[in-house]
Amino acid sequence: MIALLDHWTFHVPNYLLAILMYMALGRFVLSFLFPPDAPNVLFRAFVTITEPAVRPVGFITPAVVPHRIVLLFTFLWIFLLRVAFFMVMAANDQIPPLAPGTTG
Amino acid sequence: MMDRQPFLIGILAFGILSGLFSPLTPIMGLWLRNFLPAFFLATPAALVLIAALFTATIVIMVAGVPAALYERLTGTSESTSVSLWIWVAATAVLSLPAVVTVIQFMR
Repeated sequence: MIALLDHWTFHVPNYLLAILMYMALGRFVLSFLFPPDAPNVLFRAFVTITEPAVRPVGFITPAVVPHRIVLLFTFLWIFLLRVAFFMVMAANDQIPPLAPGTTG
Repeated sequence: MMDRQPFLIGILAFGILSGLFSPLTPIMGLWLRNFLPAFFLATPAALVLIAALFTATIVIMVAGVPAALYERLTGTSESTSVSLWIWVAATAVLSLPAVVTVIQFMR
């Protein structure tokens, strides 16, 4: 726990982006099971949490692309954002060191 | 009604070319191993396949940004032939490293 707090400037944004990324993927999978206006509580939670990320991705995606693919693109854009965040933090020496005995 | 299929086929063809031959694909494999470890460590073949798929999709996705911005600036609610041509051209430009790799293979 102490080690996690040492690099919280990396871990907190990284975990938040990871949660958002996987929830976007989950919303993509659930979109095959539920209609867009389904009242299901779990589905609505996925929609509510991921909508702030899906809207800007929809803005930079051509209109011909179906909404389901926009959800997939949201997952990929957040993935690229995580990679970029990792590179910026690594350039500033802010990433946590590897555990002993692991290989890079 | 404009036929969009030729445009989409061209975009997908360039995307597939990028996925297979882009120099980014091996790098994508490394990123996937570190950022999505739970999904793709089953076999190395699965990792290579998914890396190619990610590269292709990301090339298509990033190439769509200029086309989307053109649509927003012109205020159209549907894709036009101009925006789709922009998308095809951007995908072709982003696929140039893959084309160079193919040419080097053929020599």
